[in-house]
Amino acid sequence: MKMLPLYAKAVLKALPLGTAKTGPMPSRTIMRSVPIEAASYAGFTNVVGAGLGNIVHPGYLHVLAFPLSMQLLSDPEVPLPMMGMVHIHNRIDVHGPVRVGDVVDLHVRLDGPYQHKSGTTLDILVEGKVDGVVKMVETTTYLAKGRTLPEAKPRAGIEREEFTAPTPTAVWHLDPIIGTRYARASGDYNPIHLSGLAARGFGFPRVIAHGMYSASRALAAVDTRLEDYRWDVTFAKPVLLPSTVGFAITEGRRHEAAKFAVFDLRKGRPHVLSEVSELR
Amino acid sequence: MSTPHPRAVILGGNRIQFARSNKQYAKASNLDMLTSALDGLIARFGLAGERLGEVAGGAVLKHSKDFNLTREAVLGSALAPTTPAFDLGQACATGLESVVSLTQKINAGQMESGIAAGVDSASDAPIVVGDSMREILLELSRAKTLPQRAKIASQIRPSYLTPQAPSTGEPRTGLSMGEHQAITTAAWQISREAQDELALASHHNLARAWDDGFFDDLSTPYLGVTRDTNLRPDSTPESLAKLDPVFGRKLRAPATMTAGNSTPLTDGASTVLLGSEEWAAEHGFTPLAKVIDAEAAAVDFVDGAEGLLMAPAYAVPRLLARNGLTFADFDVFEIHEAFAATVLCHLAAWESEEFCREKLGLDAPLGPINRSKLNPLGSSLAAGHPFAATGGRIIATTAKHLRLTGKKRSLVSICAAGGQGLTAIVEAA
Repeated sequence: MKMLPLYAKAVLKALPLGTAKTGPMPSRTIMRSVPIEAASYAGFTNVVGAGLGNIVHPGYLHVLAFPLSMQLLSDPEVPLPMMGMVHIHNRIDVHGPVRVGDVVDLHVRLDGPYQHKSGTTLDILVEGKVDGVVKMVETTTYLAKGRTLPEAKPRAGIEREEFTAPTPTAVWHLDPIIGTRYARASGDYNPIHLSGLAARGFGFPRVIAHGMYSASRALAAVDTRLEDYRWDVTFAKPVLLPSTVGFAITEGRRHEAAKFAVFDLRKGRPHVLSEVSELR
Repeated sequence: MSTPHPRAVILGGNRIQFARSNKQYAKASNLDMLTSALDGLIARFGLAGERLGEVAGGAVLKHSKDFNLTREAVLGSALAPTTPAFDLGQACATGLESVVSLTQKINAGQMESGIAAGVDSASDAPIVVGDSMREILLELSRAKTLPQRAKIASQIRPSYLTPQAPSTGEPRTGLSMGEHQAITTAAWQISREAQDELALASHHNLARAWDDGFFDDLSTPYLGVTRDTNLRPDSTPESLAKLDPVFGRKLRAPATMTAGNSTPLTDGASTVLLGSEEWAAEHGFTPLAKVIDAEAAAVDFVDGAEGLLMAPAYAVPRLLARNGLTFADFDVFEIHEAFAATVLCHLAAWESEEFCREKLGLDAPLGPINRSKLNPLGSSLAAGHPFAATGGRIIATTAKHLRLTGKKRSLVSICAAGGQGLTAIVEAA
């Protein structure tokens, strides 16, 4: 599917023309079967620094569902503008491995809106099945900053733990082109990751890295060997490009359940806080 | 346990003088340096035209064209072209592993003679562009029209043009070896003064050895270099104290590692002649020493559970236990000085009751090492460290030292990238 026209449409929608749309969230579900092809998957692992094996990194399952999510979000019936929405949380429950060559049946729908202290959030719920068995369940939470909707439901916010930057066990040197490279691998051509001008238009001083790039790279570094696990991600400050950021496991160990973080090396502020925990 | 009756003996060695990178050997390739070191050894032992059992060697920084480096060096040397060779690699332990590997082949009766070698050039190093530049170059090659090419080329930033070589960075952490060591140095609270003191001893010991002519039959001058160029015999505590820290500057603990107490990037090559006792006798060569046993270890440094260069701290106690030895049984300790702090961290670990109990599972610490027995002929801080050539330098040096002094036993320890370490016991023959 063509992402650029979709973004163009979304940009138009974000412009302050007319009144903001209100009303219930469209309840449409998009279903699509997507085969996991080795060549495309290799493009993803190459960029996020994961090994190219048979078991698929869950970040790639997010990538597979992404165009469907965008199709839902760009629906004129959605009461929040797609452009300018910020990805603040992501949770994927992995129920056994999905392998290269599998065909994933994706069901994608919207949930919300929910009240949030800085605006309104909505969720994209993804279910991925292989041969009729649920292999992944994802909740992607977007925040529309400064927007309030009368129909938004209350919900307990996710508390962010106090974060003190540890000594980094790894440092990542990130070039500006990482935005383009991840866009190509993921199909997410949001201009804030590609063009400094666009990024400034949305209030960022420079191009920012895709949140799911940093999150997927961090998960690749933890290289979990669990079969059934929950991968939680909280996005804090965006990573401006270019930059050098720190990574460390703050609890647990590589290959196992762990808490880990990507953070600013100078000020110690977190970019991504993440956790892998065993399910069952 | 070591071989009941090890047949393999160390007969001698030859290296080219080590030179700081991008200086005298800047234009010499791995193949050039390795061939020169080999030819020097062959000339000294009169082995021209001989077919040896095998030559083993390697380089850490390797061009793709160096795929059969050691065999190519043999073909370019005075040895019989029917001498087989193989390349191996264990990062900075490559040279020692080639000695151990050939020793075992001779002990097993598989062959009678061999040359263990190692070489590295940090000057003529393979140039690799970063992933970003690589991506752009690949895109450019796919672009069909001039405007397309121009658009793609416009993504190039000056920083992308910086070649990624040579690097001592760990692939999984992105941290250089020095930055890794700085974390370990801080954890063990190794002082700047202690590091400078060790560096100073290394320079003074190596300078004395050169002055005494110790290396005259262990080296062959190459391209006009007659001594290791990193050697600073006139180093003083004051001159070392003046240097600014280069590693660990972003850590909370004070930065202590300087260019003076860290090894520089170095070019060089080394070789060691090995043979069975029978082969040595037939050729009239005097055995210097034997490698009795060796032990490799590795640590999980990736998530910071252990320091990158701490593996020898684990290998040595296992090696000692297997051979029923303690530190008191050794006359010499050859501990490769990747950084002064690396050696000091190992010593501190072996003296630490907590480390020996919790990490090594020992009832008591291994105890201290008599500093006068440590690197008595200098080590990498003074000589420099052409990665794969260091093992051969140490083995030839300590073997000759044992023979010359009538001392009995030496412990050799080399830390390596990837959280590895290789250690060996060398005994007078």
